[in-house]
Amino acid sequence: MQGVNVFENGIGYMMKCLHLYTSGTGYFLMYLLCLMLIAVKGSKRDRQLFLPGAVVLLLTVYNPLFPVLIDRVFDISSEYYRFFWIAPVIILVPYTAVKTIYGIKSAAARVSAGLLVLIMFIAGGNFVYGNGFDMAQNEYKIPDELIEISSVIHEDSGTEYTKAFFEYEYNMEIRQYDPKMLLCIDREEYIYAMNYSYTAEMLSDEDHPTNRILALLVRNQEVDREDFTDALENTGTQYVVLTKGHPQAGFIKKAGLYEIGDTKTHVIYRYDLRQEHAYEPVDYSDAVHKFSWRRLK
Amino acid sequence: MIIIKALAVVFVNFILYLAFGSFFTVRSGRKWSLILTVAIGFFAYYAVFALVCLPVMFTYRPLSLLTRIWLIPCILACVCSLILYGRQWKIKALEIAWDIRNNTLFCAAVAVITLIFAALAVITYSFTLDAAYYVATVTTNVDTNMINVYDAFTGNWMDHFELRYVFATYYVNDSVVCRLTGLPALVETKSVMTFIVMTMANALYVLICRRFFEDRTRALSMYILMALTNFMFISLYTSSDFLMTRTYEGKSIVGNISLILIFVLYMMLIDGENRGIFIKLFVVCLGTATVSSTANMVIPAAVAVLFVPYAFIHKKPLVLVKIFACIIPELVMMIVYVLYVKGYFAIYTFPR
Repeated sequence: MQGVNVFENGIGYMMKCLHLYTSGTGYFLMYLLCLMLIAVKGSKRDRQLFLPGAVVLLLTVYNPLFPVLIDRVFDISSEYYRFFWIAPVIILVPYTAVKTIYGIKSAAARVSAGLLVLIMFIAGGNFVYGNGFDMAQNEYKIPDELIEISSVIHEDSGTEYTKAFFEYEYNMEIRQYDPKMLLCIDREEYIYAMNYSYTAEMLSDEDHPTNRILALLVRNQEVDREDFTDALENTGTQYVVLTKGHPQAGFIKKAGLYEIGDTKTHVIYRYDLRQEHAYEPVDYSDAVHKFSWRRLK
Repeated sequence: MIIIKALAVVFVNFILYLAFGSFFTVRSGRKWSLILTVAIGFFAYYAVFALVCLPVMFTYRPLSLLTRIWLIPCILACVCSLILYGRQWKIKALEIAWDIRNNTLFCAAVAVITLIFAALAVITYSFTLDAAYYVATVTTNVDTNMINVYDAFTGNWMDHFELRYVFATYYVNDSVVCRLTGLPALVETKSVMTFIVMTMANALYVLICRRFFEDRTRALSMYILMALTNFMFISLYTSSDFLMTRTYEGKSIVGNISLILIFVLYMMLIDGENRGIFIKLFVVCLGTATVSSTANMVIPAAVAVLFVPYAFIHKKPLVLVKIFACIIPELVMMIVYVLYVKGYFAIYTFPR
């Protein structure tokens, strides 16, 4: 779970986690109320179905000590919330609501109860399209511009595979559409760059030339022009795609990159590699097809 | 053309799930549920696929070979199932036709709501970080004609398999379908599987509603409220959010199909329909382990939360043994993963 971990929060972790999980919705509270209703007024079958599991959940998953104990064996900070899925909120809350509504004898009161339930369900939640409904632009469900950029780069490169740098969203999306577009930055490296700055030591690390690319283009840190082009050279990165008006556009032009095309919101720059980086997939044709593993410890 | 092909793949998938599931649910002279059969079949399909896929993958043979091999169990399952259960399918089709005639409003409302959900999930654009791995794995596999030996994020060759994901062969199945049909990976994952997962989740809701309420009006009311819950119980982390925005992902299947199906099986146990229940549970657990590594933590916990109290309350110690047997796939995967993460071993992508 983003920004919350067991190490820092100890027994407070579970509540913080639950708070983030429910995110101001009332559904978990409704689940607890429904459990009480079932305990008091539910049939034997209802109690058998919902109560024993709920008790076990309250003693384990919702017990603040539980994540602290588990964390000693597994690092579960980022995934603990998935245990919350086990509580059958989506079954119990609607079931109890319907049972309560239809248990009312008077028709008028039943309609009122039905409306009240609807209000609770709507007011107590966050609408999935509350921030707007974003319709896919094409059958691939990626931005049209990304498809356009892909074809501009391939037309320009003239090789089957080519390597590029994209900014965050496009970096994550391009290979879902175009596997022949190799990337110099992987997901975790990019996420790191979004959260942390690079030290001088990291920038001079010859084993990780991508640090310099990320420091300049993501964090806008100062990087020597030659160090930047060396990083492109060492990683075999021939194209850099930036949003229009990117603060480092001037810098990369001075470093020798030049525009080969643009779209509505992006500019595609090319860097002429001093040394050719031909990409060839690994040849498995002569490989002995045997299971190969090694004990390391 | 792509839409027609995608719809055909959806149809064939459901037939395959029915064929695989029938072996576990359809018995002559006994009542059986089509929804339960298809849902169990879904997990049986992915469990069998993993058994076929892993040896091919770990000996770095091409995706095209796996595609050809995988056709054999699919055809065998369909033919055997048709021979063994074809008559039962026909009877069930007549029963469903009768049900539709007699409960037109209920069936129509359920169909419309399910289609709205599926259509919304299919046409919505959503950006997720995880797709960068999952979908790109499919495109990379199809492009290189290999299985998981290249890094999906960058396209670089990997020295060893990434064991966090490698046993979740659900995405390799997508690669196989793409290879076989020519469907683009983005369409297979974000439209075809989205449609299938959404339909199946809603079908399970209908099954649950009808098990709770014989009266169709009440069952429909409950179904509508369940649908509304999925629209409204939204944060970055809820299973409803995964269903609505990241439908095709393995985690969404764990949270919205596996857990619901485990609850259905528990419900059947409580209702005394316990014949073969633990075999079905084992299939769900095994199949889920091949869909997402999230299963390794969530599924054993869910099975324990529901079934362990049952064993104690009803004084059935044998149930504890059965529960343990059911979650063995997840426990094994968990041990393998922990040993890998702690650096005890690596499985290479090239002979050494």
